[in-house]
Amino acid sequence: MTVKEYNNAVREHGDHVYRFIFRSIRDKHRAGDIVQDTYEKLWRCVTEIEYAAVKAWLFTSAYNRMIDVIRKDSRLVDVEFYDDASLYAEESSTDLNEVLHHALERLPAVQRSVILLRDYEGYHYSEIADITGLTEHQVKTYIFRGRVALKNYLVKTSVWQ
Amino acid sequence: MAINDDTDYPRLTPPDDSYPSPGKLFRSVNDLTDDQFDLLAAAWSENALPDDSIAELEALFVSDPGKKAYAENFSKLCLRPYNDKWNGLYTLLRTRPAAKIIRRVSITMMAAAAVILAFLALWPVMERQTAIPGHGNYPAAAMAPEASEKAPMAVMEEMPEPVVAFTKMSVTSEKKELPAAEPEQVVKITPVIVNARPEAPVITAGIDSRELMAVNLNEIPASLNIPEKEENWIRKGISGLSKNIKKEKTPVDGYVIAKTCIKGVNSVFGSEMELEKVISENGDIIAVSFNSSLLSFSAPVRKSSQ
Repeated sequence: MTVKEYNNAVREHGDHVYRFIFRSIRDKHRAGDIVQDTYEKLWRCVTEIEYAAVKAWLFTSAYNRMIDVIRKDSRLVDVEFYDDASLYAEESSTDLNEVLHHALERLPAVQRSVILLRDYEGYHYSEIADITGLTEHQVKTYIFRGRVALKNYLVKTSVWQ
Repeated sequence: MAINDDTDYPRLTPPDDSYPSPGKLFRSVNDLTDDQFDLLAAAWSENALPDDSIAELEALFVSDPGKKAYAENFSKLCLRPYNDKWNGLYTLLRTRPAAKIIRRVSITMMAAAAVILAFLALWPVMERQTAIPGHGNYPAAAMAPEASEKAPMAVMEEMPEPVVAFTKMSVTSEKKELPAAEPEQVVKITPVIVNARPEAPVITAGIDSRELMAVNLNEIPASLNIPEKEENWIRKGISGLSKNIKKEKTPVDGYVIAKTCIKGVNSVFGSEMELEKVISENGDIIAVSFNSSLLSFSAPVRKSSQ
């Protein structure tokens, strides 16, 4: 990959990678740091990576970095530690997309990531499997269970009819 | 249970026992729990089910259309991305080495040109200020002994007060005897003081003392036609602008102009150039130093230009 192609990768995919990480961890500064680390890593091995594969490489690298950050940082509380009462009390919006994003924050990190990759980037199950290091079957299971969790959230907030 | 005849390797053979009611174990699509149906519906909405599963599920939808409508709602659970942007994205862009060098060189050249222009613009003013007497002291002035002897003395000589007397004369006829002269009436007029050398010449630094010549007092003109201090067009223009803005005349400093130029270049190109005054222990500005990543130099400043 040339310097020009690297810069194209920044312009074309930078916002997408940032959006994926930001929506996964809900922290602007950490998301920015992760994106910066990812591109720094890309720049170090810029000659070894083909431009055609750079998007998948960026998402894979950013995802792995994000998992490291989540593991190291105890402040990022996962959804399993919420109780049901606190989950639904604060919601008042009727915009479906906004409510869905609130619901997404309550999902476990892996489910959140695979759903974001599926919905935001339109990746196929096999591509998501490559990025996250899961099997295709696991990806499908996480996505379907995530959808059911989103539906249950909408039912409890009376958005689902 | 029977034992086979092989005594070397005896083994059990399975009997013909069978589960008494195997029909109870079979399940149809109608037996799915709600959670199981939700999972299937989610997979169906994403077209991720195998063909046989789809056939079974669609058979259920035929029998219960309400379940189809319910399953179709899962397709609405798709997230639409927000327009999230990261401000620091363009800091990740890299420049090619050649472009980097060109950029750095051009920035340095522009900065150097700005400094040189500022000095060139201020040079005539500095020259005039050194020529105008009465501005500061000039410690570097050196006079050769012979020149000092012949040089004109910078002394204001007191001229004696001249008194001009006029006599009033009255003429009556051509050949008349002159009447007794009336006592003379002396009118004293305000004395006129002629100062041959209104201002003492000043020997300035940088003048070769051997070029100094003795001049007679009489040859010194009564008044030296010293031109008024004239500003160059750049300073005049900036002074005019500042006067229009502030409604008062403010002196323009060449150092400030040069520093503003460099600041502008820094803000446009993101470079880190500096222009600083070098101040002596006495508090006088002795030089101006310019620093950048590629070039740094120091230019001495004349006292007259401070």
